[in-house]
Amino acid sequence: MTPIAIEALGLSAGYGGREVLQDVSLTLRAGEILCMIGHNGAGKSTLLRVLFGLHRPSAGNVRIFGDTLPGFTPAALGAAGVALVPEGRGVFPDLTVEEIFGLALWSAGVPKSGQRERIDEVLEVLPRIKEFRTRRAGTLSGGQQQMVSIGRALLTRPKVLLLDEPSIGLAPKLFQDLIRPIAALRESRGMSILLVEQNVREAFAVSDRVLVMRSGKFIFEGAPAELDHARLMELF
Amino acid sequence: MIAYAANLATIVAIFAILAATLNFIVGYAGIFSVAHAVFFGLGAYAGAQVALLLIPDPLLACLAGAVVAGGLSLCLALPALRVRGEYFVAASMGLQMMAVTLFSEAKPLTGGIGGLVNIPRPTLFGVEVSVLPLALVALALILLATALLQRGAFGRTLQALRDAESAAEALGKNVAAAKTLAMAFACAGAGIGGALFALHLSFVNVESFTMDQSVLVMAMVIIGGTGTLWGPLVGAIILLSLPSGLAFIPFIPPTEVGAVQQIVYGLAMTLLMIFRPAGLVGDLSKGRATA
Repeated sequence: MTPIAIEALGLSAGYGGREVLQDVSLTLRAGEILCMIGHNGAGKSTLLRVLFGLHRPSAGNVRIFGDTLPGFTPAALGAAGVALVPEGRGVFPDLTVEEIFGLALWSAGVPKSGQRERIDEVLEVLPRIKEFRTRRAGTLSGGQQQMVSIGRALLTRPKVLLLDEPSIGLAPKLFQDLIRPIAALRESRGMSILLVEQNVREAFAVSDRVLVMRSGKFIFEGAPAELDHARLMELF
Repeated sequence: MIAYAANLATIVAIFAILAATLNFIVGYAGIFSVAHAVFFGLGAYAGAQVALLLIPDPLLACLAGAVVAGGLSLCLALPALRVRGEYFVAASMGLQMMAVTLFSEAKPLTGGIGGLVNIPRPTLFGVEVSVLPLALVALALILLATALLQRGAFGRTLQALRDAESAAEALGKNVAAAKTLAMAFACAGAGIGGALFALHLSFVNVESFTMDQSVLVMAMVIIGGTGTLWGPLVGAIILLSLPSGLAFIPFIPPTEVGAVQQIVYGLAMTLLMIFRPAGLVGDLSKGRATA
């Protein structure tokens, strides 16, 4: 039986009394790419924030590889092998790519002796970063910034990667070039990926399973092939 | 003349403490508070009450000022954890306005509009001491603490929050703890400044803790250079010394000094923001100040 990377049961969460997630349950299997789609405000990003310990749910619990973490904080989740690539890239504009990587490795507590190896691993997956590694992140294009953001997450050697709309502001071809090497990590490293996306076509091409969210609830779960254009229009 | 210079130096040192501590949250953590005068006031009232009711020991007064202001910094930390940017500016503005009303009305603690008067001169081991050396030592310690914190893990976390909060969260940083601690440090420092201010003037009232004062301290930080160690000190020296210096220019009639001060002050600020937006000590090459 395939082990379960993330198991969330009965999650509810909201902001200022407004409930955004309503009794949501989700299972991400080890080595699986699970795509979550839904219109703006459906609750996708809130769910990712809850899964990464950035937002406290009002009900429900989450298990990571079968364990309930004692302190469900980003630091504890990072140590348990979960990494988040936040929406909007989230790079430090005044730092160079090398400095951002250094900060990520320092934050993850990676000793100096092991840092070179980690950076080389990331450059193997995203080799184009070599071209701009000495530049400040604020001067990079959207696609380059997204590469840096994903690269930063990969430095921690995550077992689970949470990606929040990585295609925002990117041309489809650029997104394709970005997502394919990440998706390949499923085979090479057995990584599980929860991909929140609006770019349905490209996301479905790399996903094993799809969840459709509407108003804080999942209204569809199945294989990408089950969602043809008409069905998608109906669900959106 | 010497007394005038000593008084000016004391006021500059106290405001440099205020500017340096405000810079800690504005420059390093990116939290734009316009309520720093509130914590200056809390420290001043706490220090004054210690001197009036117990003993005029400046160390005890500073400790009381730091504890009261640092403890009540939660009033500012709570909105900072929930809102950012212009929303936080508005929230801190609300706190500032509310505090001025409370300072005016809480007569048993603050003396109301009339303030607290006849605060005894500070004494250490039974000997009366000037506030100037105390303020200089406090300023030096705050700058040293700022430099050490900024270079350490805590400083890196704050700067990560300032530059990209979502990325800092993704790195596993404890945003709430970092913001709360930064706020407590900055407000406790402002409280120390307030206690020294009360002991120096022997009188405090709400007029010294209004929005105008918060804006003045913010101007010191911005003109000197946000996110720099020495910028706030430079800003405090310039904004407090320049207007005083104008009073000694012989060809300006004494009746017009006030108006000329306002013109020079406004012009200097405008020109500075056009030609050195990163502040006098800020690093222009990065578009944002650095230490």
